[in-house]
Amino acid sequence: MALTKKSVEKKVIAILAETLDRPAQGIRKDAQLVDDLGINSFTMIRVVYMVEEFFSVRVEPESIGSIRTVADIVDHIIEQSSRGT
Amino acid sequence: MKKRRAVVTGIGVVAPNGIGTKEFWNNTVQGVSGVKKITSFDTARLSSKIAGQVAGFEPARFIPKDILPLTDRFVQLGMASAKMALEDSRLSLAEENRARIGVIFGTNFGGVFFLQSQIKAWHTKGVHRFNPICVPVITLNALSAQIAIMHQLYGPTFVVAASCAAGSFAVGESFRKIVNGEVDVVVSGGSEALIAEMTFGAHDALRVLSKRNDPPEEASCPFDKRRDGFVLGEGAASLVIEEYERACRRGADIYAEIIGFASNSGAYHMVIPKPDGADTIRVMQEALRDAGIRPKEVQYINAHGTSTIQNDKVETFAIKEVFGKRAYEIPVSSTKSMIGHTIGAAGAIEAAVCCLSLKLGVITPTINYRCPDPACDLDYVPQTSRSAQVSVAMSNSFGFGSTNACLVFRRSD
Repeated sequence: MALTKKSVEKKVIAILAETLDRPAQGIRKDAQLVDDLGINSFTMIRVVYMVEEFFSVRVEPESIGSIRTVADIVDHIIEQSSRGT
Repeated sequence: MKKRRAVVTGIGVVAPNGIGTKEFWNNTVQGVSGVKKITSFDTARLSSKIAGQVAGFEPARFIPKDILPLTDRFVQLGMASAKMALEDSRLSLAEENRARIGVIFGTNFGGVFFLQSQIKAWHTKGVHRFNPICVPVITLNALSAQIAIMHQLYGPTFVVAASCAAGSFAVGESFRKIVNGEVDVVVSGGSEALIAEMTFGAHDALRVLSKRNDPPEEASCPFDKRRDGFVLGEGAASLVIEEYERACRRGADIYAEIIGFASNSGAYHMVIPKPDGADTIRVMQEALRDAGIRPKEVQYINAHGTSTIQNDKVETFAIKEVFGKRAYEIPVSSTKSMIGHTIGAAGAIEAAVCCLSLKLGVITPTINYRCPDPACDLDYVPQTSRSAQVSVAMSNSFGFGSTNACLVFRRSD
């Protein structure tokens, strides 16, 4: 099944909402992970793990530093999954 | 300078026969067992198929939502008991100097439920697929650390892994730290949750568990001739232990005073008790010496009483060596007859029982004691509780690895 940007975005926001224990409605796709959502390094690796498990993609440790917004996570998943197919 | 004293001002218990101190105590006084058939996994190929299990436990009732996903069952049980004990103590934490409050707990195996799920993931997906929360969830000191984090307690925070005696070690070390002036309050106790395939199967393989599976509630029969091993249990207990003068100043309701503690090693074997009981005799004698009392002052002993052939025989012999002829006049009972052996929690739960016995004037029974064993010939308080104004109670805990602890409590007047 092809991933649509919309469906990936919805799932990523759901993962963030669950991990951060806050409502999904308040998480915008352009939100800054650190500045807006208050994500720390431990929460970030939890989110990465859940993303990897759900989408069967790999987020390399060196790419994590360049992920700054919710949209960056979405783009990374779509890029990685298109490489895999 | 006046010698500092330590008293118990709060108790919280989560046990197979009761969630909450009131339910646990009422059921323990009535001799209600919490041992049931295991239904959470297939026991068909195991010799033992029963355990003391905490049914109906809802961790979300006790643990904040942001902490809960990072906790395994042993932490959840411990955190619930700590919350109840703190509420029971009526300490106003906001007004306390929380750098003077420590958290010291006994536990041994850590987050085994999460660990075994991760071992499955490792084997099916590969060594690179461990969940990043694995370390903070499975580590033993998650127990003390999460309690400190939840209640913002900044004193010494650690766990003691002293096998079946871990809970008693935690209470004893907390008592020492208060008496020595290092801290004023310790939230102390023990927790263990081992009814998972990995740890239950491992205990079954060791052939230490009872095979008297039917009916489950009659399997644990300490000191009885039919005993054939212990019943594994899960649970937790917390005690708020506090320096006596400040407890009086704030008008705290005192359960009992901790007056003596000793610990030692038989340096004998990882799983077999030293047959001559020299280590267990010595630990009781040293605890009495530490308490500054004579053997004749002890009016109740909460035994280690595991329901294994060897422990109950050696413990009986050791009690007779320490107390002489008077041993036959001292009520000796085993809480494990009702809840099984909760390993790292056992000493803490049994310390709670001693405190409640002293406070409420009731000696709880050894249930399932029916067939006397000539090697076990003391008064084990069979089946039924007794009303008794006990002044001094002793609690024994003898662990794997010949690791022993003994606590002495006095009624607070």
